[in-house]
Amino acid sequence: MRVNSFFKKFISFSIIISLASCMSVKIHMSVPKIFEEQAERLPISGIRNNGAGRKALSFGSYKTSKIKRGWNVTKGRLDRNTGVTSEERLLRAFNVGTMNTTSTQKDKFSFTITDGNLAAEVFGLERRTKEETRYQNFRNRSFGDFNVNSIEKNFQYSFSALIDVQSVSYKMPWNLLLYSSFNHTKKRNFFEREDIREEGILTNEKDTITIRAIKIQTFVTDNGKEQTLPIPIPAAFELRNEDGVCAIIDTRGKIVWMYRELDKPAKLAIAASASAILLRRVTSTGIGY
Amino acid sequence: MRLLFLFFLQVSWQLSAAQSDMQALKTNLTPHKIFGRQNPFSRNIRFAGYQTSKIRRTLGSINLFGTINPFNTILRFEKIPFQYKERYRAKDVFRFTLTHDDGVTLTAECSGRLKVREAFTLLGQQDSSFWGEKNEDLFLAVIAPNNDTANKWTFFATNLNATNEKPQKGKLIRKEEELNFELKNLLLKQNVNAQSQDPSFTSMDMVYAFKYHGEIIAAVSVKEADRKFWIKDELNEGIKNVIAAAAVILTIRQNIYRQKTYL
Repeated sequence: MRVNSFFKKFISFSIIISLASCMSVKIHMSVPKIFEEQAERLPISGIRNNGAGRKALSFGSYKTSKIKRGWNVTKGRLDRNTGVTSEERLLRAFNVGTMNTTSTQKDKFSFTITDGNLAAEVFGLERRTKEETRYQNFRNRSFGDFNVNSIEKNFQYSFSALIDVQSVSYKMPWNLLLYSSFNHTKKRNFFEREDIREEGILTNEKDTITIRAIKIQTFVTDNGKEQTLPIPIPAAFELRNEDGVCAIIDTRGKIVWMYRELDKPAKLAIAASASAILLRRVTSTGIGY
Repeated sequence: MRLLFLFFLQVSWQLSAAQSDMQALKTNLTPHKIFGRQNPFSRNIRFAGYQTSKIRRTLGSINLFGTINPFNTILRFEKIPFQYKERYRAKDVFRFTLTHDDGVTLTAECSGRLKVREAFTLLGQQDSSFWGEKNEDLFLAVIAPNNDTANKWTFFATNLNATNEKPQKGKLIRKEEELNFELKNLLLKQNVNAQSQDPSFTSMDMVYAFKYHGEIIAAVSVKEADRKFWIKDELNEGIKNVIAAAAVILTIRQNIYRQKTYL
């Protein structure tokens, strides 16, 4: 019976993934009814799935300029070891030579966003530093560098953006910060996947909005059908001020839900943050083995 | 009742997370890039007005001293080890002089010692020595200002070579004064480029964070790549100098835990 239900879940998961990838069927998160009634639904157009591209975005009354992108640079070098993993210990026992490397990936972009009256300038900077152990597969050592594998031990990701809203009521620029990290010591065994969640903050010293990544299991297709996945996957960001949830950024469905009662400059700052979050190109949560 | 408790737990967790983020954004640690040490011929480093010189390392720091276990070779079939034991000692002994632009000079004498006792067995259950629990890793140093040699600071740290799961941390002590440092991921300000004076962006870095009276007052990058040093500008000069010296120790020390086995 259990096997049967697992098999059903697996089939539904496979169907959703294949539909989403091959037939471009959009899936999005189901927002609670209470919030849905008090919020505006703003589907975003002009964005790619991986955030890449220079095309302008538009959603509701918000429009961005063309995205100005800098170089997406990755630098790496041999580095000191900041923690010996169980995998490394095993490789040592089997006399396999390892190297410890650290690489840093940086990306930056800027754009302007307007709601028709107010405008804001956005400068974003992404940075991901990862430490990994590189080793040669000893079975085919003769193939040299083609056979180098790596184990990622830890990473630190941060996305920092300045949002300068040109308004009399907000003299200080908004600071957006999103971060995540992973450390191998938290992982109990080789097969366990660490639950990496992004956290962040949007602040201008006067007001503070906390940002939290949400993982969900139940999605809604464009036809309105609900589909449940076997495992929860990252799907949205919840923005919360002292009064409660003020916005939701659905990263799968590319939809922004914004609370109606917010003032215009705050709405613009949230719209700018949503655009900046969706325009990121550097992997923020995944671990590559 | 349980739901109410969970709700308050979640709200308090979010509030504490937000408070820690706010602290990170409000930390007034000024970032400084560490220059030098990009190749084996440039051993000296300079940062925040400090410059190292006369780095001297003993010959013993190059070698490892240990016992050869014949069973490591006997109990191995092709590449598969049935049993493997490793016992060796390694050290890193060095000294350097640190000079600030205003003329203050400090001398540090440092000694890091590592004793490795590791074992692996293919057929039996691994004991704690497989995870490096029996290794001993200690680092000691003495930092003395040249104009006031009676007021020496003692630096000691454990597990800097990261051979086991214990925290990598240490202390700086002088009479009743105490500074602590520990390896952690910290959100810190960074300059977009070397010219900009206003550090507007924040990044997450793996650093040794220095604490004084419970407050983080300085940090130095752990990794060689993209090295930086952060310090609070309002500190008194004596504390700043000793933290700079400790940052140099943590930067120029060698990792003496070998990554490959030698049978």
